[in-house]
Amino acid sequence: MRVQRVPADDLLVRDGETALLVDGMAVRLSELSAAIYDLTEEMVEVERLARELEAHFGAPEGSTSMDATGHAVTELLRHGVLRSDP
Amino acid sequence: MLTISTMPIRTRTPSTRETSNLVSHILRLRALGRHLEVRCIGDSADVLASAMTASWSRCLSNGGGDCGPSDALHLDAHLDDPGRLAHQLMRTTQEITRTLIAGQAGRLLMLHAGAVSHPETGASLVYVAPGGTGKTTLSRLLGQRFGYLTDETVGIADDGAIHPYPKPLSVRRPDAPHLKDELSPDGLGLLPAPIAPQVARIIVLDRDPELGTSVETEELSVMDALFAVVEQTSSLSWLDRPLHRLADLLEASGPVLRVRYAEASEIEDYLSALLAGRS
Repeated sequence: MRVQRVPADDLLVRDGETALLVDGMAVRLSELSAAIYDLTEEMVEVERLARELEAHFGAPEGSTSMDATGHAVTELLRHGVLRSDP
Repeated sequence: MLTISTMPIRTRTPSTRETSNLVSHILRLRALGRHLEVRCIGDSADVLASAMTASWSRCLSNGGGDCGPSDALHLDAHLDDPGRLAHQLMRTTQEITRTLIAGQAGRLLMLHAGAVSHPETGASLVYVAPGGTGKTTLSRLLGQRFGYLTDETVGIADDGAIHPYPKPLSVRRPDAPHLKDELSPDGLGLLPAPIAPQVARIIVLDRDPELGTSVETEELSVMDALFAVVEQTSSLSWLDRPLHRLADLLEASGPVLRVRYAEASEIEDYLSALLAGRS
């Protein structure tokens, strides 16, 4: 699956935290989700995303990079922050 | 090709009542930084106009002569059965609020909040809360000491100036919770808004009837405050860089406090002292 971020009405970073306003809805991003948003200006395969995130954050504890990335991507899709191109 | 109709335009002379409806029953209001003309129509338009003139006394606009400003917003309010007056007043208040909010979308940062202002300095306390959680009750109490700005919607310009919306206070009837009475701030003895109110402090109200007489306060980080307040905004995404504008306001007037309480009377003195400290 490939994903790309949806253009936001605004993006705010304060004290290391990120907030987005997408389609009139405010969404608070975790550090991982903010990194995913940053890396998806263009359509990108989730597998590639997982590799890039692992290179940045290291391997997650108790999970695989692919599982952790997939979970975060699912949440971002659910909140309308990302769109997918199956 | 331009075609000019030669058909005569039928006209008729309005009856005295119709003339009265068309001319005398227009209320010109100035609120939330906009002019608004409310045309009262229907068999009991005079009853409606009279009641609105009393309850909207703080928003009546004197200027404009026979015509209001060219950029005035417009709204019709209809009453046939005088027995439906309270219902129509409530409904008209809601429609006026919606119309004003739509008229300021993209201009003002608008919060679902009540506000009062120091009568001399204009320093203002803004209390953000969802409907039904005590904004009106608190406005009624604090408005005895400070200038009443609104119990419903606070419109804030990018320099922190508040455009007052001193509407009637909408008070739920105990015996008919679906119905609210629209009470004039003059009738309740509330102090008038000062000339230039500015945001001095923002709090988030969190009413919990289980708390009894205790009051809990918590300072919120900018991001926590933003997410507490953002749900109580109107037309936020119409603004330029909306999250930045909201965060800048929260920082400038911060720290934002979350105040948990049961009854408005328990926090009246605390909030008064808070505002006095910023004046």
